[in-house]
Amino acid sequence: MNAVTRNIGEGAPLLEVRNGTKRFGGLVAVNDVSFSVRGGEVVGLIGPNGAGKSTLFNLVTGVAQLSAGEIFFDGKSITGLPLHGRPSIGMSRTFQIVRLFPGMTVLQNVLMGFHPQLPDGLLRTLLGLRHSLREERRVTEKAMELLEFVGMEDLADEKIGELPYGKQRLVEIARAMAIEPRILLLDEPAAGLNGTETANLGAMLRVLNERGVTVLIVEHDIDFMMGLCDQIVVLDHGVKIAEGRPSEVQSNEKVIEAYLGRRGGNAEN
Amino acid sequence: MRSLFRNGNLAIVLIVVVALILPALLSSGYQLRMVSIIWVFALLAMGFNLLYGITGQISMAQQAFFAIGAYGFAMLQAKLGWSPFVALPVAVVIVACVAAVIGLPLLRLRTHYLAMATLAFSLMMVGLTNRWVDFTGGSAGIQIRTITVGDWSMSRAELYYTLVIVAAIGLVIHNFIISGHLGRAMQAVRDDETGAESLGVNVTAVKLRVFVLAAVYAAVGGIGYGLISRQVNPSFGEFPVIVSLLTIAVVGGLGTRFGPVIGAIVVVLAPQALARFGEFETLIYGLCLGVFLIFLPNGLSGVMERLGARMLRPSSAPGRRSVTKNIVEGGAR
Amino acid sequence: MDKFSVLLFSGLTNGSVYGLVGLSLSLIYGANRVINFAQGEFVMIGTMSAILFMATYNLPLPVALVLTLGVVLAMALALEFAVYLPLRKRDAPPLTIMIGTMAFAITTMGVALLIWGPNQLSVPNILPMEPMTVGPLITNWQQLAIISSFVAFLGLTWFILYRTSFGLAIRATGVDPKVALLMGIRSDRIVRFAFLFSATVSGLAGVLIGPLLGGQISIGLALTVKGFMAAILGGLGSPFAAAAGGLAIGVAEAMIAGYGNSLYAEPIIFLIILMVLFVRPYGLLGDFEAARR
Repeated sequence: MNAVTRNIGEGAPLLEVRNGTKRFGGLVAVNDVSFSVRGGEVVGLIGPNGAGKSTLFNLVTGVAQLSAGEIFFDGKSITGLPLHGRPSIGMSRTFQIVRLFPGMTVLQNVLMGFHPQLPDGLLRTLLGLRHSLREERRVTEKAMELLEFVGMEDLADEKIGELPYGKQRLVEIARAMAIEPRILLLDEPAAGLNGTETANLGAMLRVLNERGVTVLIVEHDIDFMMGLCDQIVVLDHGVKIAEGRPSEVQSNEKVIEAYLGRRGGNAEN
Repeated sequence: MRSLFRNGNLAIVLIVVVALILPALLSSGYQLRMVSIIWVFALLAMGFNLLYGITGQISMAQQAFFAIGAYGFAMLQAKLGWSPFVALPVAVVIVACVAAVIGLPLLRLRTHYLAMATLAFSLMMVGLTNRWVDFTGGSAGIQIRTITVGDWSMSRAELYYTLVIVAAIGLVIHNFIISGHLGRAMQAVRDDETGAESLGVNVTAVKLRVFVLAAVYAAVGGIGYGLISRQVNPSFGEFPVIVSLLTIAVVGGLGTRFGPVIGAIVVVLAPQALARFGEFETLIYGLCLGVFLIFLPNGLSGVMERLGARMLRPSSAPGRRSVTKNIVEGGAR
Repeated sequence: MDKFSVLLFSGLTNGSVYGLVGLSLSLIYGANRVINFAQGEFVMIGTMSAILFMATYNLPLPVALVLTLGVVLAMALALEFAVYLPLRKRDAPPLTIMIGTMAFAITTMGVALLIWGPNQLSVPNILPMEPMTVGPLITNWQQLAIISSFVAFLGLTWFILYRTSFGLAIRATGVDPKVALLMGIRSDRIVRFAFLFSATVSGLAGVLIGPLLGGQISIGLALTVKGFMAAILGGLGSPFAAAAGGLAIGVAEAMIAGYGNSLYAEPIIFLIILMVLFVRPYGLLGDFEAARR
């Protein structure tokens, strides 16, 4: 089954950034960066602190707008697509600091991931009441399946605030999966997790990838990235300095210089 | 979900049954008028609950929509000679349009700015109703005739039954929204707008729709109040109405399914019990509002849920709690 | 010219009071992001206490002033300890705290109703109200006193904010409470100062404006609303912008009433405020807040 989904490097690009540039006043945070993510790949975005990873990630997710350049998803430009239009085309994300709805339970949070699939607006919901109720039942079952996948089915009715951070991260990933994404965009998913939790997360992402989900991931934890990613893009000072398989990137002199040159031990961190 | 929906509806059926046999137990027209007003305020509070309790958007224009609904209904009949059955829906549509027109620019505002802008709108409307005597009848207001068809005209009791049914429909819709995906999206907007947006919730659309819906609830309530009072005057849109509304919302429990009804019952009836204290009424209102806000943030609904949960605990399986409870505890943030 | 000058001064006088309430609201908002819906009640209590101490008990002016000040300061502490702190403790959102201050306002009105009753009482003048001319302008001592106390409070606020280290802490809290806390600023003290200072400003404004507005317990709400509008119009972020907003509303109100339509002056003012918010969601001078979003 791996053969079906993991034909790395051969598929058409699912996500493509062309000459992406972001300026804040006089500062160029991301400078003419191009890269692409093919269907089925796990692509990592790394770089020393202040390299522009987060800015680039925000451009891809639509939280920030490009100053120049263009972004394509499945061959179509999504440069000006509003934030709320993205989940329905199959783009799903998590946040650097877990961003759940504190007033809701675990289950309700995951259910929010199904929002684009449910009838929009009161009138449409009431006019198709049977359909609406059936859909609600269907997505609740699916949400419970997702919670089972992340091992949290018995915490479904807990309040978010009562959960430890690691669990909250899992809820967020379950919610991101509810969108049934073609691409999962993860912003430092291992931040704030302990060693075991990070290892579990890695294993979980690998399973998701084997099921056919493409992943773009920004992360500080280099070991985590080396073990997980098929391709790695390295940024420094807002410019792409290297791109390739983890082994290639690891031995790339520019990359070593970028990491060691400024902050000695960061590469092992 | 299905069972929950049924479970909630059972409570509504119970409320309606009690409400319908209530007039038989009342001795005076005055008492009938009081219990009628409960349903008017319940409707007003349901809209406010959806808007503020669930979606987190405050509006101090609810009393203005309440008044505009009643004025529209009165004026379409008095000035254009329309039948009440046409005037009623048209008045509601007018309010919905006004809400949409002012909501579109105003809902960009947040928290206090939204509160003030909506308050400015309602003060402007009240100012107009007081001053534009030729059009609105000034402080004397406009008469609203009893609904009449041929020889039959609606008695006070019949008006009461109608209000109960309208309020029950309003409550079913209110609870249906809160319990399902629409309410979830609204809570998401309340908790974290950007988070909601990135999950595909069109935040602007959600806010505007709820704002219009809340205005419609207020308008229907206002028309009901006009029919009970047999007139409409500027006091419909004045500050005491929003004070009552806030007290109902807070005492009943913000963001709960039955809070608006429970709150309305208490806030309409309690002053009757306190009537002999007369001049203490304002003070007691203020203290109640404060005490509930500080000590019982989930209002009487929260108290009843807790009592109910305690009574049911031995029989119900541990672990899985009802969604109601979660919503109750979610409260307004 | 006479008409203009009369309108101008009456506008400036009312505007000064709106401005002082706006300034009070803005100071509190800067300290804790809460809108104090009871601010106008401090003005009302100022007016009514002046009646109580000066007319009913016939106390000399200085004693009456001190007692009035004592009343509004006690009220400010009651607001802080009975409403603000309990709600803050359970992490209530700002709007809930605002509704809490509204509860306080209603309670205050309830108490005032028991003491003074619903009718309008005459307020003793501190200063002569006879018209007098200053160059080409016509005014009276009462108006001049209100306008000058407006200027004086503005100056005092400026001095505290920009010339003392405590003021620096207030401003830091106003820009970002979390960062200020990290810098070791005691926000609870700033909040208490804001409540007490605002109560002083509003209470004294009440003593002065009483003779012009008339002593009635319902004036508080109207003043809260006008002060609120002033703060919103100018921009909640700066006490000075809020004060300027108050002057603008006062003068515009007087001019519309004098030269336009006195009947519709008030609705027109609200319409203008609404329009301003349509175009500039954070007030005329409110870039500060908009930029932080």
